[in-house]
Amino acid sequence: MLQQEREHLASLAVERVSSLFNTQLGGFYEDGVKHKLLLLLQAVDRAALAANKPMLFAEIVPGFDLIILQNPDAVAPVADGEQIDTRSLSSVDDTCLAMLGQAINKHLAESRGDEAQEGVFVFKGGDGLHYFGFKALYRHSVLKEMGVSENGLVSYVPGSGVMQ
Amino acid sequence: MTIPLSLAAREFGDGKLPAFMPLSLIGHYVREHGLYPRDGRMEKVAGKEVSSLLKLQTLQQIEERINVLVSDMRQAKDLHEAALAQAMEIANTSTDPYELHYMTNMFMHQREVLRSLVKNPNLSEKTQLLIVSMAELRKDREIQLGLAHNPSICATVMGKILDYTQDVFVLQGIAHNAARQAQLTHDDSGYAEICKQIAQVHWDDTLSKAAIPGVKDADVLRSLAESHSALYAADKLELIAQNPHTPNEVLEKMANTPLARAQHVVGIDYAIKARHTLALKQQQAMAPDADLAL
Repeated sequence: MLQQEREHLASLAVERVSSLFNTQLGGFYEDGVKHKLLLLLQAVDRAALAANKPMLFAEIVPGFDLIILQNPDAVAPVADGEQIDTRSLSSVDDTCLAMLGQAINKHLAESRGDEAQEGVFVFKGGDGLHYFGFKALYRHSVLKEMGVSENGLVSYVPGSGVMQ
Repeated sequence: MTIPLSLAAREFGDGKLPAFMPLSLIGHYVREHGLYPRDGRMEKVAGKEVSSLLKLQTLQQIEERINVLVSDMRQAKDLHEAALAQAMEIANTSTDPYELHYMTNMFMHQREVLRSLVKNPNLSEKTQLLIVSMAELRKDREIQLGLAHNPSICATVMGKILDYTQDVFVLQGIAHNAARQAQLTHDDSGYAEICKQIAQVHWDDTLSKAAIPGVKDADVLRSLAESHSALYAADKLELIAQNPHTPNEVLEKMANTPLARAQHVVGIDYAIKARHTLALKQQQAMAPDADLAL
């Protein structure tokens, strides 16, 4: 997605986190969480663009999966992945992600409560990447809906050259 | 399952927020937008792996860049020049130790590239150890000199070179380099040890003189001072007098030598230098936080 879209989503998520814990988190802390979220969003984009395959990020935050899809026949070229700081990325630690996981799961539970069905958050990025966020327990159903065959889920093996 | 009239109409949400879509409609959405995997496969990455995955991305990119270079070189002779020039470019300007290590392995038989590589200050200890372990490279003076003068060369590697080299120019380079590194580092890095070894060499004065400024061992400095005559080894004594690690009684003996005035006339000045060093040491003892400009 475009950087402005990332900023928007990250800000929303941080707002959500603040209200979840009912505290007035200091501006500094909020910025920190927002920055980490931005890094994470950039990182998954970069991975998806490099792989150029449908990607499932299992438990990107605890309890929550993310799928990124692209249309291989799309006319508009997908934006080139920008450089990100991998060292800062490793600072996106477990507590931060756990907190985000809680917030997202709560939001999922509360949102469109009247529909009361299993659902997926869908977001179409301005650069042609499509994002699907959902609870990890729906993984099997989502994959079926997307046409991934039974043995079609391939685990990424580092160094196998799969990401070329 | 109801089939929606148009998925476009169902694309609720103002595009700025993720829309919440029931599971049953996901199938339509992905087919409509052509997003479904053409081979029924999807790549699964554990969320925790994301940051380490990206590090691997970079490593793979580096390897790819070099593999392309190497295959170019193997394929066409006329591309050889361009590929070699590119390899040299990487050898000279790269700041990534992993990249340099990979390059060293790939271009082990290309002397020109190696000669540039050994001068790169971003060389890791592992790469340095690899290069000094290659028997055929030990005879290549330019490579050995390049390593000896490399500011990032590790004390362990220096030690290894000292063991096998018989080339006095390489030894000189190492002595000079080790002395400088020893003076720059405060801790007990191996450089002071290397200097100690070289300073005690008796068959080459130039060599031992190069190492004396880096010696931190008081006993060695004392024995050096006592074993050298004031007449024939004055310049060595001068270096010992300037070394702040020389014990005070040795410095005092030098400073109070009765021949100081006569020596000064012929240009031998270690007495003055010893006095200067003593003064500076006193200054440091009184104000230990002050920067010692020695």
